[in-house]
Amino acid sequence: MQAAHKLPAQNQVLVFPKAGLLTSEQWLVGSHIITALVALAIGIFLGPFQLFRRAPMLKLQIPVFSYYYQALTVHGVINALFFTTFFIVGFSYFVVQRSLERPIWKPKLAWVAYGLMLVGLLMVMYTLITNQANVLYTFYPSMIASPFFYLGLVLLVIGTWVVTAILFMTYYAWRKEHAGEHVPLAVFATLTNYTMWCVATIGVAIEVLFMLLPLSLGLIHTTDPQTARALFWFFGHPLVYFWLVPAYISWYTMLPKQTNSKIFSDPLARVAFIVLLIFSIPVGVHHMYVDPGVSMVMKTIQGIFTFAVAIPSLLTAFNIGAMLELAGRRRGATTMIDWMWKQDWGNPVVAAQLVGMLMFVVGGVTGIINASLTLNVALHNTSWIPAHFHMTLAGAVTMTFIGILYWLLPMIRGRALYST
Amino acid sequence: MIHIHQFERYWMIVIGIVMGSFMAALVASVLVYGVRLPTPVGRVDPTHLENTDVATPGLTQDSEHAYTLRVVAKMWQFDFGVKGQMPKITLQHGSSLKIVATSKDVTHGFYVEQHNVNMMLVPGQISEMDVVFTKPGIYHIICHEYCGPGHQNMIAIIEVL
Repeated sequence: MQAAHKLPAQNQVLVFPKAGLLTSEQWLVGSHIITALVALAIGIFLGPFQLFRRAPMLKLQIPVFSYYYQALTVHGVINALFFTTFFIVGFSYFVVQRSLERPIWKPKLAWVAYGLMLVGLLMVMYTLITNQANVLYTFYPSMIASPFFYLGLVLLVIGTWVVTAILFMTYYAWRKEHAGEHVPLAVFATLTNYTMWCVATIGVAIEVLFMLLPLSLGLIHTTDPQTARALFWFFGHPLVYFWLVPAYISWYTMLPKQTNSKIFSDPLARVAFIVLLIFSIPVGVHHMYVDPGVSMVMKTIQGIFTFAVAIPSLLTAFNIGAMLELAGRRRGATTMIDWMWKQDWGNPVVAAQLVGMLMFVVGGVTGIINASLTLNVALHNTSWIPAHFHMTLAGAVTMTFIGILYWLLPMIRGRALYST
Repeated sequence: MIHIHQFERYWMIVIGIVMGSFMAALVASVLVYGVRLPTPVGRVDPTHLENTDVATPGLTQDSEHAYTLRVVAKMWQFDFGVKGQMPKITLQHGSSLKIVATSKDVTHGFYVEQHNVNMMLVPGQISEMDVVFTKPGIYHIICHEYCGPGHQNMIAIIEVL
C-alpha cells in the first residue's frame, strides 16, 4: 500500500506554473486549509449526535459534550464561522496568487492574520469546551458568554480585515503593472467578496465591542437586545454570501476547465457579483420579520431587496447551466435535457460541485419562500430554517469546498491523494 | 453596454415575471387572507415591569367572544397568571384572542401551533398579535428561540372547546 505516488502526467488540472509561488502556497494556503478541515471535523462530528439525541426512539448521549446546547453551539460556531473563514481565506490567497501570477503582498503579514484567527479559534473553543459560552452561533444578548468567547470572535474578524488589506494591496500592485487590463474574474469576485465582508462585519463589530463585550466584562449592565439583533443580522446575512462567493468562483472560473467547457458570459458573471454586493447588505431584516421592534415598512423594503438578491443567483443558474450544457454536449449529449446527466460524474472534483449545485436548487427555492414575509410567519424559527441553511451552507458551499480540495490539496502538496 | 445573449434575455424576462408574481402573491396574502406580522406597538423597561401594562399577566374577557391574554415570558416559562409547569387557558371556539406579550430576561419566542401567531419576545419590546380560534383542539404555545438550559420545556397550552 502506498500513501502517495507520482502524479498522472495527463491530468490537466495538476499543472504547476511558477515555482516561486509554491513555497508560500504549500505552507500558507496549506495551513489555512488544514485548520479549516480540523474545524470542520470537530463541527460535523457533533451534527449526527444532535439528531440522535432528539430522536424519540434513540435518545443517545452526545459524546464529550453532554449538554445539548453546548454541542449545538460548537457545531454552529466552529462550522459556520471558523471552518468557512479559514477555508475562504486560504482559497482566496491561492486564487489571487495564481490569477495575478504574483505572490501576495507581505506574506509575513498573512501569517500574522493566520495567527490572530487561530488564537481566536482556540479561545472560542476553550470557552465552548469549558461550558462558558452556550449561546449558539447567534449569541444574542441578554444571554451572555465568557469575554474570551467574544474576544476570540473579535480576533477572527480582525484577522480577516488584515487579509482584506493584503488581497487589495496585491491587486493594487498588479494594477500598477497592468493598467487598462481586465482583472481576472476570480480576483474580481474575491475582491467583491471581501468588500462585502468588511461592510458586513462593521455591524457585528459594533455589537460585540459596544454591547456584548462590555456586558460580559461587567462594565455595563443593560443593553437593547432589539438593536443587537439588528446589528447581528446586518452581518449575519452578508455572511452567507461571503461563504457562497468562493463556491461561485469555483463554478464560474474553475469548473469550465474541469468539465472541458467554457464560461458562457464573463460580463454577466461580473454583473451578478456586483448585484450580490449591493443587495446583500440591506437584507438583514428578513431574519427579523416577526420581531416586534421593526416597522412593517422596513420589513417590506428589505423583503423586496431579498427578492432582488435572488436575481444574481438566478443569473448564475443560467450562466453555469449553459456552461454545463456545453460540457454535456461535448460528452455526447444530443437531446434537450440529457446533458444534465451526461456529466463527468466519475471525477470527484466535478461530482462534488454538481451535487452541491443540486442541493443549492433546494436551498435557493426554500430561501425565496423564507423571504416571503407572510409565509415566514409559518416558518420562522421552525426546523425549516436549519433545513434551509444546511442545503445552502452544508450543500452548495461545503460540497463545493470539498470538490475544490480534491484538486487543491494534491496541487499544493505536490502529490496525489491517497487512493487504493 | 455589455453583450447579452438572446437566450439570457429571455431568462431575465422569466426571472422578472416569476419574482413579480411572488410579490403579487405576498400583497394578496396580506390583503385577502389578512396575514399580519408583529409591528412596533410599544416599549417597556424589562427591569421594571411592575409599573407597566403587562405587570399583571393573565386572561381577561373584553366582550362575549373577545379575550386579551397578557404574557410575560421568562426563563423558562410563559407566565400568564396560571400556576404550574405548563400553564393552560381555555377558550370557546370562535373566540378572538389578543395576545400582548413581552420578555423580562432574554429573547424568547412565541409560536401558536396551527395558527398565524409567530413572534419574537424581545426584552424591552411589546409583541402584539390577534388570532381567532375556529376549531376546537389543544394548541401548544412554544418558545422557539433558544433561551437557556430549560428552553425545550417552555410550553403552554391553549385549549379550544
